[in-house]
Amino acid sequence: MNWTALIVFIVFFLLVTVLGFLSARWRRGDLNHLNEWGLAGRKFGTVITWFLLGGDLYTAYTFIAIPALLYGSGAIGFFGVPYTIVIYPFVFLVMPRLWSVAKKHGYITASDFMKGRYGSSTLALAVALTGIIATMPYIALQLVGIQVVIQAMGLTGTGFMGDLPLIIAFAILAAYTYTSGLRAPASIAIVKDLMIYITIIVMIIVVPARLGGFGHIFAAAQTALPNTFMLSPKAFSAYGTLAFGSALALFLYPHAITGTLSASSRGVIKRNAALLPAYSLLLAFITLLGYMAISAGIHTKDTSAVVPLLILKELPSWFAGFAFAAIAIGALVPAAIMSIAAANLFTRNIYKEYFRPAATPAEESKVAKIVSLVVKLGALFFIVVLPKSYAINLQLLGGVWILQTLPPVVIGLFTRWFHRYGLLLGWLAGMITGTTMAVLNHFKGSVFALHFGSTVVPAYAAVWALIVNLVVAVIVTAVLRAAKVGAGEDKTVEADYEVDAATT
Amino acid sequence: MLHIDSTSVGKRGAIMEKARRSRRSKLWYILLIVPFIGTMFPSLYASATPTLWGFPYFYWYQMVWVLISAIITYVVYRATKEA
Repeated sequence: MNWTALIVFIVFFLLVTVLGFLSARWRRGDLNHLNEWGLAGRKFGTVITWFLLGGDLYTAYTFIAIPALLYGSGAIGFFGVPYTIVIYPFVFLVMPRLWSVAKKHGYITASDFMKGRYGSSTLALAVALTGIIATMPYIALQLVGIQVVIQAMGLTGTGFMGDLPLIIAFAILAAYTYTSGLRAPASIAIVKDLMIYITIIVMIIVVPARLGGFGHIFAAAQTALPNTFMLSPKAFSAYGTLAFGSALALFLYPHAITGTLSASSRGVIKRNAALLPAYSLLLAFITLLGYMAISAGIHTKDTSAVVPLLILKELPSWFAGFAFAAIAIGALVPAAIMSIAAANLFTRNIYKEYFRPAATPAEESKVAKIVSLVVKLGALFFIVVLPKSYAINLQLLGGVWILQTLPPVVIGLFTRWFHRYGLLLGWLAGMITGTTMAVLNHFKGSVFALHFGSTVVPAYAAVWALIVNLVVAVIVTAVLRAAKVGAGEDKTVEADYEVDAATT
Repeated sequence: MLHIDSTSVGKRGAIMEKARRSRRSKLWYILLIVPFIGTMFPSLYASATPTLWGFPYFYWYQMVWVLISAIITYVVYRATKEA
């Protein structure tokens, strides 16, 4: 039992807990309004948004799973870097338009936008459901991140006692998210991101110094992984499509959309598109922890233990406590935002839409708070009761599924050429294609090898599914347009997509 | 009798100038494709050499592109900012 690490860990954990509860008073607003609870009243400026999105997108699961991938599978594990490179031009171009139309019409979710743009509550429901089911396993996996660091500190145990620390952590998270809404993870993200930056900067100075420099680290990795250290030509299309597909999908996730819509202006989003790449550089070094672990002589069959083991081996106990706290808190921030985002979707686009159209803002906010709680409980149940592989497989599918909302949401921001039923059928086709590919792969990975005669093209299943999605959408749209089938009412006008915050 | 209103000519000129500026600024968005071209085709950079500070080419190339694309995004932001 590593007492030093544990004590430091608990101190920082308590610090952010207090912060979480206090943040209800930050930039005051009526938290009985969904807009305030779920989007912090759209008040976050450039710096807060930078911390919020950074905390949102770079999760504990990222810090545990990506180095683990590099450690076990070599060069392909580096795909997170090109992935986070191409995201930001995409964000710069696309997200301000979503922000504007959401601001103009009071949209809180992507699904609200679907309803307004296409007049189709079925399409809105499809997008909402996809968002919710894609988010759930992601929350569960953040818990895996917390679990891994708790175990690394020696808090192992079986049965209920073994899960108790995790349950306590989550109960605390649930409490301050309930009271403070999005303001809680935003304020905690500031602490978390600072801690992560400090941890990684220290590690990339100290660990290579102890291991003889980066040249030595890469040499050790090459010896350990001779076939996968350099990307083989057979893996080129897999690498490129993994990066590309993941990049397109990331900002379709409800928690990324929530983070974006809480910004106070278009400029905040555009500036962040230029500033968030700082985290991508951080991610590159985090990924390389996988090779540092090889070089440091870490041997483990459970690759998710690689980062904690490296930290324990190369750093003093007190700093290990700090680093583990950073990772655990790094799980709480996205878990909170994801649960808020899923709650926003359910409340607006399922509860209010189908059950209680007359719901008052206070009722909306109340329902969202409860749903956010339920969602977290569900994730906890998943991790505590079911094998970890269930959550991992569902997360894999989640990535494939969420990308299928690209045609209606992203293309819909630029043109209304696609017919709502074309988009719906395209979405369905994409969902079926992607899910089938994952199942055929026995969930061993997200890359699916398609055979075109004698050529084999391995590519990210989500991208294949998206292609099918688009083809179906185009064909059905063309047919329905020719048959002059009703295309629903568009409540938006072109100018809505350029609306900015009042400059008073 | 033809009455040329100086204010209406001035206004139309201003509208046309804004449209010209807007068309020019839209061209900057094309720059945003560059990071995509630079990184989505690993065949261009999947090699171990030349190394930089101990990093094989494959690895440092992608890290450099993080910086390049951040700069490009910032440039486009400044260039397309409405005055």
